[in-house]
Amino acid sequence: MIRFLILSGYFELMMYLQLTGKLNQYINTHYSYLAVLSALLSLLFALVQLINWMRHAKTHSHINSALARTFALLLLATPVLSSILIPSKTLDATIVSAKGFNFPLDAESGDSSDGTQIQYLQPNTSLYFTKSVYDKIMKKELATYQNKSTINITTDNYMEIMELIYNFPGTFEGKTVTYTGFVYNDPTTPDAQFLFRFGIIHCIADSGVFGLRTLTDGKSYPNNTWIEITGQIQMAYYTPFKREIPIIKPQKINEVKKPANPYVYRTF
Amino acid sequence: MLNNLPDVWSQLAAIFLSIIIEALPFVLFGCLVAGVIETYLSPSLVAKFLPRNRFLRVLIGIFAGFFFPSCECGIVPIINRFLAKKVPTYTGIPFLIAAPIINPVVLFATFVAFGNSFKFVLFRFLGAVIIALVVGLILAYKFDDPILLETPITHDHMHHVAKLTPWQKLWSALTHAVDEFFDTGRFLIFGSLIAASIQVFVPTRLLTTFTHRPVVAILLMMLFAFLLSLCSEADAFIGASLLSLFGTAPIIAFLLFGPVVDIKNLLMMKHYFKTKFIVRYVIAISLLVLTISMGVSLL
Repeated sequence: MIRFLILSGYFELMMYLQLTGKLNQYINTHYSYLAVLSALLSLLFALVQLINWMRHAKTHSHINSALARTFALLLLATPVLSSILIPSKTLDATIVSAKGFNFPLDAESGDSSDGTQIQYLQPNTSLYFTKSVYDKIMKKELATYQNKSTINITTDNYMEIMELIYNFPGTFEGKTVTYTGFVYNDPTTPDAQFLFRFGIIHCIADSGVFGLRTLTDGKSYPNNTWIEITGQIQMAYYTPFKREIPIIKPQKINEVKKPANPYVYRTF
Repeated sequence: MLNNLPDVWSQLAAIFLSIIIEALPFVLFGCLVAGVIETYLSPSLVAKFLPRNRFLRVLIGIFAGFFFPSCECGIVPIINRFLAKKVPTYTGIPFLIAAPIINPVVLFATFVAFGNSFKFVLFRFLGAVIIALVVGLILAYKFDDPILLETPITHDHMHHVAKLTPWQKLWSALTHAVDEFFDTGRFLIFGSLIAASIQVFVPTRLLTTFTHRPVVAILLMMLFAFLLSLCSEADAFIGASLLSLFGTAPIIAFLLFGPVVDIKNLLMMKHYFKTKFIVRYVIAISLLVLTISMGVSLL
């Protein structure tokens, strides 16, 4: 019976996320068919289990001790239980300081010498493509923005533009941009205020914070304050990274309400 | 409920759930196929279609894996049945290595997990083929000792299947799929919990100090794959979530090592195989994975 409850629990969980649209709190909705597939398969499994249970068929298990079997069932129930018991929270500055954020030290390529890639601050999708394909994609995207002097960064083009700004800082220097994000103050460096959003490439397990360092307008904002900033992109040396990074010199800062969906997604 | 839980915990739950959402359909599907294989494929059928040549037999073992979407947990008992029916070790063992990696379900899961890219799929496929080929050739031309225990603890699933009607056969396959899920699903959940905890509690800085030297990072990821014991249908998603922390080569090591050698796999192998063989097997696989990943890191 517990088996049936767990399986139907999976089915209901997936349907719930799909129907309420809460799925985008967990994965890039580009992949929402995965949840549908899960729902269908767990429904099938649940029905098989239900009928076998009704027929009193003996279940077959390779796990021998009763304790291990209970523990296994408990583990399998965790996804359902945790989604019921624990209120869903979106990621915010707390997790930025828990994880820390980092940056590729090698200014040239974004690859550090050992080939490690740190997907923080700068969206970097080059990992997913071969070099020539990646260069082509970057060029095509860059062409859209190259000749504009003011750029409005929205939820839809956030990841794309942030990646471009870090890849071609020279092209963007002097341009005025407007975007919304949450404030993160780097505890290790005074006056280092960043404006971030969590970007989801695939699911929130691979999400990272992406955004720019902002100079202050004289006021200091606590972590997790959502603000809209308009300002000019400049280059400045940032000591912890030992390199120059693009920053924003603000002309206007407005406090805004946290958007209904705080995440931004990489579109393919 | 539990509204006053610290943020870290609810964010841990969110990350955990997102990994599950992504991996679950593949594990469910893998179990379904495992059930079908268990019911419809008999070892004697396979033995009849093997060619005579040893090298061809190794190749057959490797590429048969492509048509057997099964995770590594389901495959050990199948191999045991094959070997008991006189399928040679140099066909069976390459199959054991390659099948959990090069089958379409796992390759597709890998493709999806790494943002619809072919790069990791290709590395994973080639790596698995190389490892299986080397081990297969060694078994075919160097060691020909029997590797099964004298009295293997057999677990006869085939006993009554032969006499069933088509409908009963299908039902037996489905039932087996559900059983399979409850046997192996726990490893997925456990692995996801650990992966999510690492994301929330281990500061990136700490990991990157470890991962600065490629050899150390690769060994670390191999150890990680061993400890996590993930199903090969799901491990790509966990691997992908660690990509930004470790880089390409160590993740390839993770993707190659995990499906072939991990805790749950070894526990099952100990049921059937001689210890001497298992020790040699693990050493050979470790060296091969290390070599291939080092090669990848130099690309």
